Amino acid sequence: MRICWAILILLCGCCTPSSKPVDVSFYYWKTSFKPSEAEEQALQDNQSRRIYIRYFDVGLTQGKPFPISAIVFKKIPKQEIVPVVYIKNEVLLSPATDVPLLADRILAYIVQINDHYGVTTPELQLDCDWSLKSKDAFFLLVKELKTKWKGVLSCTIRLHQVKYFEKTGIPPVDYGVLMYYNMGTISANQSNSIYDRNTAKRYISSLAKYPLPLKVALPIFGWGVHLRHGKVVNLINRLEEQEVAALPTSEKTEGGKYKITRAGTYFGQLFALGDEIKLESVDPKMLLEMASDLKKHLTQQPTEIIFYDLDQTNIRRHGKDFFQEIASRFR
Amino acid sequence: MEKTFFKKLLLASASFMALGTGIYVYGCADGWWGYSYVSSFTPEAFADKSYKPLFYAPEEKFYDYAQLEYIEKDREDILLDWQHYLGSAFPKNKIAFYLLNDSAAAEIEQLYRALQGDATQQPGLLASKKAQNFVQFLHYAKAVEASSTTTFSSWDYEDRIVVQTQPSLVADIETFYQNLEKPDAFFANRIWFQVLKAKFYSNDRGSVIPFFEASANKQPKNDLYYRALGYVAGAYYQQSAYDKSNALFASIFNDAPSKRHEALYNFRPLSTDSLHQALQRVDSKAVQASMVAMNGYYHDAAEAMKRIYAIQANSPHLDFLLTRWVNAEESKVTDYYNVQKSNATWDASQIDKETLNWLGEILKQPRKLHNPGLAYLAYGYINMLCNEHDVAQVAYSKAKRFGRGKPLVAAQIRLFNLLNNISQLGHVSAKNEKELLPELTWLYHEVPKDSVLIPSFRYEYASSWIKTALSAVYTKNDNPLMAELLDSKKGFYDNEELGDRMVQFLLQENKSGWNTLFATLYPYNLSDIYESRAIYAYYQDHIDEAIDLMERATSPRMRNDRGYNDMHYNNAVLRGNPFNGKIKDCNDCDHAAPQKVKYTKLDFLRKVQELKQNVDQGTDLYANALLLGNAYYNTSFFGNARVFYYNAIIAEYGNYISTKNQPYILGMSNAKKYYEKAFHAAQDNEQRAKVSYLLAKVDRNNFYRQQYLQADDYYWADAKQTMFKDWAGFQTLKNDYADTKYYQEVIRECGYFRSYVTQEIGKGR
Repeated sequence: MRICWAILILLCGCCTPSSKPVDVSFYYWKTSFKPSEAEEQALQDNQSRRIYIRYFDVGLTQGKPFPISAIVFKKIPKQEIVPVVYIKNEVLLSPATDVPLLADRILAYIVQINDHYGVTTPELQLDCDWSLKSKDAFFLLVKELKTKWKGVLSCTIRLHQVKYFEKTGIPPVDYGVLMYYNMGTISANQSNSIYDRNTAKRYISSLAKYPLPLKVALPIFGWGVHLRHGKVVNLINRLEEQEVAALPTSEKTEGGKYKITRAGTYFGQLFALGDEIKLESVDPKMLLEMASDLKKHLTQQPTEIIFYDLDQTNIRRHGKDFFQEIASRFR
Repeated sequence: MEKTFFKKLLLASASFMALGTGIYVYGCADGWWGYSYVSSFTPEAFADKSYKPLFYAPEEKFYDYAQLEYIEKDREDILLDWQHYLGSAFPKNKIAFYLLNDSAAAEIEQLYRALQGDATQQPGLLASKKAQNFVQFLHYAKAVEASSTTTFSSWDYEDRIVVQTQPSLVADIETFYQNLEKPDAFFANRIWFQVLKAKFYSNDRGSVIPFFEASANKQPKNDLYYRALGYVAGAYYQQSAYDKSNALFASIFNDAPSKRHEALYNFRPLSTDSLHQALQRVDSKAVQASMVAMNGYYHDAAEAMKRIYAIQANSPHLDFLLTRWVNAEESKVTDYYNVQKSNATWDASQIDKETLNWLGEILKQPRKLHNPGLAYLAYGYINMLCNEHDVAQVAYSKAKRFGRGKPLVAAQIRLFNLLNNISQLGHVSAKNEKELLPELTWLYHEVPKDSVLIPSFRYEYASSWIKTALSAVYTKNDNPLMAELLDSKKGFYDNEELGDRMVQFLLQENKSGWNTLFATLYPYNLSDIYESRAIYAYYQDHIDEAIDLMERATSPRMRNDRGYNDMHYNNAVLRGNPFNGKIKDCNDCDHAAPQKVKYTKLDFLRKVQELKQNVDQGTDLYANALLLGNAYYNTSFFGNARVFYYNAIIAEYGNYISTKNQPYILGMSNAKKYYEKAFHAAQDNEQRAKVSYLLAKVDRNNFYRQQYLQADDYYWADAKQTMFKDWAGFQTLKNDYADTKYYQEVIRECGYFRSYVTQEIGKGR
């Protein structure tokens, strides 16, 4: 129980020339890769060099880790593919998980997918909301992958992992992607679980001393939160406010939510009388705000901004030139 | 090779169903201990296990994390079926091997080729017609399996891609089925099922519908029949003919209990209007009731119950919905999300009174119901939560008549009666004690050991609620001692007089049964109290008193049984030498360092007493005062002997020390007092240099305390914050004793001092 008064060596912020461009790329988070015309156009307009594709999740089935909803390529992207593997925290919390074996299996599975479609992937990204309890297992997984995987290894970094990095440690990856979204619990009350500047403020100042090189992931998605008696029933992905407003059986309440005035099936969900829909998304103003806040606190310019996620609804909401504009704010 | 093709067949049948709705569940792992901690109504007591996955589950998708996979059970069934059919016609171990093992494929094909060829050349295995049928079946089943292998759980990517059954294979099996001569019912039934399966996994899924309709009436209504019906329902589902798929899933739900979970998962919930229309297209009342029940699972259980009652009052499906309704209503009062808020009085303002009244109405004719005992208990329990205690009592006694011979139901009734009685208490009389004691003894001592009840019986919430409620009654009647005993509050022992009374109470030899019960449930014992008092006496420099108390803080065995380790009581060993005073505070190093003498808490206090006597008598004052200063330093938060202050009542084990204990645990006044004595008694500059430095550490700790440690939101000091200053001890050491050896040692070991000396004084960082 040593008293650890943290004495930190401040990294000398090296001033990179401001002319260095910042790449724009996207996460693709559907189970089948078949981009629409608008989505392809967005990749082209932004000269995206990479596309981060969710390959599969790893979750527990009958207590053992297995891949879930692996990607099916209906089309092969022109961009460099970065496979992203989402590891559910439960996998790493389970004492029965054999981590070195899991690392082998993840790699073999990626190779198998790549071989099946004849693609190559020089990088691997892990996405995991590891906690203090699962940290050791996650770091072990990263170490195992690092020795077995010859390419670049990266992982997503959540804000809480930055804030407490002295305590939680830094995953031994080549770089991290700061997820600047999903800041709170999905609930009836919190203003916006996707982005909340006040919440972000509590974490953002820690970025200055975070020693890992970071890319930045920004949210462009939205969803509807289906509430019953104030409790979350479901999430309806990509729901737009105008769709809900156009519903004759909904009315806007004072709190900005929409109340269902007649039971029925809407947006693929069964709604009871009195159920509510709370819409959450980020608007362009918020994204500009995020960019300038982050610019202030990051000591190094990120080489790439990755938007979550590539979907025509999200693209349409923000307009085609907007992504470049955001990226340029980081220069 | 454990992977079995039958496993795949079965999984496939579950996975086609996995199209339906799911409720979004987000993680809430911390703080969820189990149903028993948030609920007192045990659904397992009232509905059979086929409904279990459908019980109310506040957090997870299905109750008790039920999975939609039934591989093991079905494997067993298939094996037994074939073993029974084949009898001695085929070696038993071979049956299992061929059915359940992938590596049997080559052998099966060899046998099949033999079967197709010259009958006289057939190996002995194929001597009987039944054995030949078996091989024929294996041949087809294996071929179909190739296209029904969508598994949930495989690390083989190719295993995930669905390959459709080829039309030629479908035609082949169908023709074989149609041409069966003098059909052997068992064999024909299995081939019939293979036809349906092949069709389901072909590119013409809809073809299962006419085939089933034309042939199903010749089939027995066994497990395969309902699986086949599931294929038909799945085919309708794929065509978006949800009214039809729903009706079939409802009939599976009604007729095949083992498939209730899957049927419900694949049922597509309907709005009130659509449900009304859908019901008109179903003839069977039982199936209508199933449909309403499944809809009620997703949507408005109360409305569904009323509807089921109108359709078929004695439908068993009403029961699981009623348990869901009760658990949901109960959660409005007992609050699933804030377990700790177990208030003594219930707030029933959110309860669905309308449905409760309806329940009262239908209980006027209890015999019309499938499970009247459940209905009475539900009615009584929710009324009790509404503080209608008389209504509750009558309902519980009526329920008794229906729960005979069922231990869970009997336990449930007993628990509810107890809760009902406790919740009406205004004060606790001798009569109350006499009546309640056997019930409470049952709850606290017998139930936790009852292996029949334990897996499911929900008693933990009631156990803790009763203690809180009784404690509130005692508080109201001005009996703080019993109130504390039943529901301990932090700070009780701050009041010395009350603490003394508790000690006297715990010391009583002949306690009443009532008092004994609660003394055993109290989280603290005499040793905890003595030890905490000894620790405070020590910090106040009352060493004789501290020793006297610590001597009494012995380690009772019972405490060890409850999982307390040896950190407690007078024989707890301090991890480092508490009399050392090093330049660097490194507790881990001190703990690892070899020690000639290991001190227990009591040894330590006795040694402190000896040193103190020496100091008081002026014997070797420098050395004794220095050691005492070190002792007080080390038994603070900053020292190597934190174990000294570990105690259940004081409860300071972490980096944040509560305001009340800060003066003791973060306090440096004793250490400072004795270091100053040592300084004055020092005889040379080496000694003065040393004490000056130790005093600087005292100043540093005081600074850390003021600046960081006592702040509410303290987390960590970071590089930008001030870590050291020009403390008086530093100044003295630099200005007066720079020529000592000790000065050189400090320069070597202490970076702060080095920086202080080399930087301009007072800047810090």
